[in-house]
Amino acid sequence: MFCLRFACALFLSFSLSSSQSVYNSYGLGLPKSTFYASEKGLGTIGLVPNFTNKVSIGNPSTWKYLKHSYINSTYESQTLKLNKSIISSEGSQFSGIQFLIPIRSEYAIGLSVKPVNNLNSSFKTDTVNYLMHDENLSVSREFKSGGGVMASSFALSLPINSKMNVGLSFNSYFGSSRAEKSIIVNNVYYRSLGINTYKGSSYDVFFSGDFFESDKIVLSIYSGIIKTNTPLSAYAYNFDLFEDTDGDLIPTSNDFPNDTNVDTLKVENLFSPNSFSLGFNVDFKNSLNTYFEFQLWSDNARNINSIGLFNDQIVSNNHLGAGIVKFGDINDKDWQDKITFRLGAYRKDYKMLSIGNNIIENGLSLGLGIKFGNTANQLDLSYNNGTRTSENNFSETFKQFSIGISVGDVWFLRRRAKQ
Amino acid sequence: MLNCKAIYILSLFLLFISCEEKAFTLDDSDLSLKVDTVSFDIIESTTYQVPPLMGGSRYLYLGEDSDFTFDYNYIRVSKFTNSQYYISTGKTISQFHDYADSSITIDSVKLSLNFVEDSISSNSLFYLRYFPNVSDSVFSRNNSNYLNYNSNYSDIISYGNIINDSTSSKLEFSIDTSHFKTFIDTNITNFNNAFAVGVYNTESGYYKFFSANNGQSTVSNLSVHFKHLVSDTLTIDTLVSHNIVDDLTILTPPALIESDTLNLSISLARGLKSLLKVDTKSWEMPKGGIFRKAELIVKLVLSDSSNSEIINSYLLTDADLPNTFKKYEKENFTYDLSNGSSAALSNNQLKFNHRSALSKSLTEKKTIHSFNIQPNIDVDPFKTFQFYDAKNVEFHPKLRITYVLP
Repeated sequence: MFCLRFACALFLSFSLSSSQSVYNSYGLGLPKSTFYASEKGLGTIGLVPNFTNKVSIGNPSTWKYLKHSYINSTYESQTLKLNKSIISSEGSQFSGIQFLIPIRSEYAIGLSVKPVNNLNSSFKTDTVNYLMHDENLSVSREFKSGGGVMASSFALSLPINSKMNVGLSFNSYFGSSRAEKSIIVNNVYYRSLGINTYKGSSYDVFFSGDFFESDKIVLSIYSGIIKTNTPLSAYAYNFDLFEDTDGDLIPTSNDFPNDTNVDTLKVENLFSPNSFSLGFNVDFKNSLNTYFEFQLWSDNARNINSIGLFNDQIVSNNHLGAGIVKFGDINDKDWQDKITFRLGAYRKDYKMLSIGNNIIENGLSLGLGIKFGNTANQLDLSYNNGTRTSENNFSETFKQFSIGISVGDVWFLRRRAKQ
Repeated sequence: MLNCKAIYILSLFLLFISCEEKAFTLDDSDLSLKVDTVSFDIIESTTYQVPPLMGGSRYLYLGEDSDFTFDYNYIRVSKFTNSQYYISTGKTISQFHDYADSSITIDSVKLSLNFVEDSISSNSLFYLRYFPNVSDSVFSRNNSNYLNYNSNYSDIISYGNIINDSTSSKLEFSIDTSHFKTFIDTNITNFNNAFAVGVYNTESGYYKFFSANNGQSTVSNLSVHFKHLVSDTLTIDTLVSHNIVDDLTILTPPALIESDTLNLSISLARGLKSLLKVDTKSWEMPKGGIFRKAELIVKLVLSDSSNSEIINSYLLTDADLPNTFKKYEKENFTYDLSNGSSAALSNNQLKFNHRSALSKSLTEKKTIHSFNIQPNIDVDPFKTFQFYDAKNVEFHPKLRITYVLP
């Protein structure tokens, strides 16, 4: 209970003190590759074991090794700061919820809802004062975007043989986002709004297998493929610029003009993710694991108009990550042996469509997993610190704290035969 | 266990370091949303005169002043009482027709007009007429003037008395009950309920009364004093009031002087208004942009320290404007009343924000836009405002547009 209180206090302090990347304002924003606190703590894209020994919470092919059914959810808080800026941007959001059911230690199914992209962005320019004719003008600009694409997923884990498993996942995309651009002239807001609703689908295929085993180590290989089934499409509702006379953020009859025009567009082929990822994990058989993984991710869609604050998009992302994890065992006597420790480092190389610059993200990750209760409930905490830099664009530093709670129960597991 | 300790130490070390990158200078020149401006000179302007309309003024005037002649005050009394009076038959007196009841005997009727000033002392002779031969509307605040006012009134039915108390003065007319019968006649369904008040011998210039437009606290009224026969043994003497609901001063303006037509002039009591025409040529609002302001700017010829004088301006639907001063017997131009703008004098200039009007006009693909300017009903009606016209090289009127681009 003390651990829970400590975690809550730590999380609140981050939420109140600390964001939203400026890169989220381009197109659909930065694609998310990790969703759960146990993944974030290890800096992995969710391919290799990170939750418990042999189990990655984001890789369905590993779920059969779960000893309990789990409902787990993660909430994250982050602080971002543009270099040379004294003000940091803060934000917190839901990062994913999942319901996992292992069946007879052979199969598993899972249902999840999670955000696919991060469109949260909010920034403003400095105020410029100048004289236009005989009027003093104070002009600044504000840009905000939020919401994004969500995925509801159904996943299935099937065994190939005793050492190899496959996971299949179908993702249905939905959700909505908003983008708001404002220019503030002498404290009067001139706003333009864009609201988008999304629809699309993709499927994932995962593989895991133990390829080498000795007295001291087990070498496992993990891979995943993401393929777009139906590229994301959107209905984009774009409100023309209006003077927000009554300050209620939306165009009303009190504003100018009092009949703001709304363009409705159907935008096809907005997001079409495809990826291949490969990971290697070495289990030292003393609860210590080390991993290396990479991912080649690309968005084949090329339709950036009318979505997001600025007309650009992330078109590819290469991810490299490595780290070590020591899984805790609730049955150990020493407290430190009951806790899962995670440490990782990663590098992401994003390519944008029209700027022509790569965004390099370097990050370090730390995580803890604390088991409690008879059904191996687990509290996961993670801290990420890193930078995103671009040669001809913004550079920013981010800090992220995530908290995940996994509540276990016994469903569909093989029972011991009665004596 | 060694491995675990190494992890703890490394973890603590990593917690306290952060990646720092070279500082980056933010350049916002490529960001969207901009403010821009464009100006157009007024290409034509002139003044015109129409018979002055005083409808809506907070005051009524009678007498003469500075060559203005205030001929009549037309007054309309509400047919409804200010409060209901219940009579013994179970009915109520709530309007004029209700006085025609066997239990009611009208004793007297008095019309009171409230002076703006108190302690009025005068030898002027105020008189009252009414309109028994006009069926319904006698006057209109938007149309009645010294050229067309309804003179189908009765002979004088009463002369007024000035009544002073400690804080106010009022002009009171006693109306013979024989004249009041027309008001309560149930056979006349829509009587005009109007009076005309005039004055002889205005030795003190002019008299100023509160109009119904000034609010309920100063409104004048008609009081009906009557006996109510409750039973054979009980009779109640009481009164019921009816407020003035509409009024209007009919005035005759003086002859114009040269400066009235030399500049752009506006005056309420003289009926002076001005016209301005601007050509925006091929300019169009850039796609997606909106007006922040579309200011019609006119500058006073003579400086004026008053900052509270409100002037109105309207987009005209007429394209053909006179080149020189013109006098009309009625308003010759059609205003777009839904696209007007008001401005207060400030720093000897007026700035009318005509963005709604110009948005509409540009949407209709017009390049020539005509506006008039005229005093608001609240201004000093006897003051003439004079502005530089389009011919003035330095201070000519202009249309200045500032707009926001996405």
